[in-house]
Amino acid sequence: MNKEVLHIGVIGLGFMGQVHLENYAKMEGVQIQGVADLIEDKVDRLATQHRCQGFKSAEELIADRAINVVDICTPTPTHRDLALLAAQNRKHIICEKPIARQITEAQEMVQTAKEQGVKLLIGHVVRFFPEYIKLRELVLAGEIGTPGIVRTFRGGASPIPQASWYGNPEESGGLIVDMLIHDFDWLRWTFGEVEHVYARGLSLQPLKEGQDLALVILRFKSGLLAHVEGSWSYPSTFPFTTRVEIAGNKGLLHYDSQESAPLHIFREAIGEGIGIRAPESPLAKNPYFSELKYFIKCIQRHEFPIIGAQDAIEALRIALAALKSLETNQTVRVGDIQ
Amino acid sequence: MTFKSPVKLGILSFAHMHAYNYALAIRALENVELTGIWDPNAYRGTEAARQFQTHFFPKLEMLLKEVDGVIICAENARHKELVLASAEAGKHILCEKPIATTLDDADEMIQACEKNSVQLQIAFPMRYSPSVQALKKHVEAGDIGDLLGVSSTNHGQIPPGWFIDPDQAGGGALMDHTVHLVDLLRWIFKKEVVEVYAETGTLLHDIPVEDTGLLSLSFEDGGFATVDCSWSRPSSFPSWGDVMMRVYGTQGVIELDAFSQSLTSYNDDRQKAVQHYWGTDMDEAMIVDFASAIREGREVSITGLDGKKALEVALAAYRSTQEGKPVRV
Repeated sequence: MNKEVLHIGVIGLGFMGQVHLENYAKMEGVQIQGVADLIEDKVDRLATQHRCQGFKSAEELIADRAINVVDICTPTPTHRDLALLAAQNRKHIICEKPIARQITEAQEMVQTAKEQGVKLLIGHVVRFFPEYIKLRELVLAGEIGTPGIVRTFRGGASPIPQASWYGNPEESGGLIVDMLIHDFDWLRWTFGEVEHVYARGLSLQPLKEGQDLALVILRFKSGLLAHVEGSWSYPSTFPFTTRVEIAGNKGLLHYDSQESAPLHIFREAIGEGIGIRAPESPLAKNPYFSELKYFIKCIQRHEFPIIGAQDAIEALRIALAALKSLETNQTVRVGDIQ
Repeated sequence: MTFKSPVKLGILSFAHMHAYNYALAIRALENVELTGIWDPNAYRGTEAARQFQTHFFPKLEMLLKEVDGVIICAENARHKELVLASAEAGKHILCEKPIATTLDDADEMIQACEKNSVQLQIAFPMRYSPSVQALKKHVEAGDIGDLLGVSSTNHGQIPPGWFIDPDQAGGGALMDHTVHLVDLLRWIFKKEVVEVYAETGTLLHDIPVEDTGLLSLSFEDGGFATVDCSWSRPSSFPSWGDVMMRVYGTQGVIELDAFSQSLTSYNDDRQKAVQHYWGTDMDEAMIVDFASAIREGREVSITGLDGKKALEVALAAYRSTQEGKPVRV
């Protein structure tokens, strides 16, 4: 399997599906074999663009014998069924985060993939962002001594105008499950297991105007505290922003994506064009490329990935604990979420 | 009663480092006089008197006789005795925060001032920040719609001495910093806090009190706010800390960094970058306002009741840390 070219089928041609396709197109050792989506127009357009086969349904794509890796970029509640079908058809699976909407669904995915001997790789891409890698390295190297309290921020404008399923918390879990899961995973990877959670926010309510907001307090088993903030409440002119601050007994680490963006463009709007542009933070190695390339290598070399499906389940568990805390206005032990 | 001569103020105790700011501020004002200093620590008091070119009074009653009002900068647990003595002597009072370490003490202080018809102001200088005032105006004008939630911080560095003695301070970072933000939230949004959830820890220093705290506050109409009151700035940090708020409304967001009006200075001898704040001196604005209240014979802008309300939330937060769940204020 080592040097074999992998033939990828991408299901779900929204924003993430298109990002994945763009990156596979640049990658050696992979061939984009096919695409599928509920919207026929999208299938036609992207099949033409990537010179691959357009499938009328996910099932047809999964059954296709030329495809050996299925990449699932569909709304969260569909992950389980598609992953099970892919596994039963002996296809390796790359699947966007969150792994699933419920723990039991995620466990079924892991179990079936194991039984069928296929890889299940979940797209927790923040582990491949260089600033998050560097922050974690510095913490582990003792740069700030023993960490004590962490603050994270992730957010900007609402994604809902482009993808209305986010507005249904039953399906998406709001930003707590869909977006803050990135921070829950990274924090767990860096600081260990979370003991309990207390959350405030709007994620349980159907989101009018697509607004969501969550302020989540985590207590780690080590005693560390974290304040995890997520927002889909900014206007469309606000650039997507991430921030991390980690205080320890010997120092403090500070990261802010707005402060670190190297490129800002200012111009008058012309006609329908946009005046203010989002600042750009270009990298030679884009994190999505790094992540997908890494996943492809794991498949080719039969290696265990640094982000295992079990890690994805634990991140989901923290997110679901936060949702339960919103619901009950109580602290929720992460271990109690099944 | 109107004053033509300067308003005469005395500072009682230099235990709280803000006393030095207040003394400087008074010295810079034309119609306010720093008549004298009393301090149970005579050495500290006489040094301060020398520094600010005023008189040191070894006996409290003698200073009280000379002044129109006092500024109390003693340890938290000693606020009450000085407020009671000053009220009995008929003097108006500006008292450092928190008002006291127990609600009973706060009540006694408020009642003593009422009985003696003197004003009691609690020192919440952030209300005098022009940026905070601008934020309040935007909120009141409806610029971001209705309140959804607030994420706020008042970070600091670990303070010295009595601040980390639970008997004198009444607690650690939570007691020290929570009250500033609670007061601002009450003032800006005109809502009371009805429930608190808090997590604290001694996670950064080897001290007998908490140095980290995360609180979640619920307002009477459903809005919520989190407060980070931690002493989490290391000694190598270029500033003492911050006061920050992100206010989320139904129609927008306001981000406030109240001390961002700073320059950064790099100095090889010091081997450390330092932030120099050049914004409005809030302590001075507060002294001016307190002195004006005395001069005009009007009620002070920040009352003993405001101080008590903020203390209630801090004490409820401590209860929450013991019970492991949200508690009603």
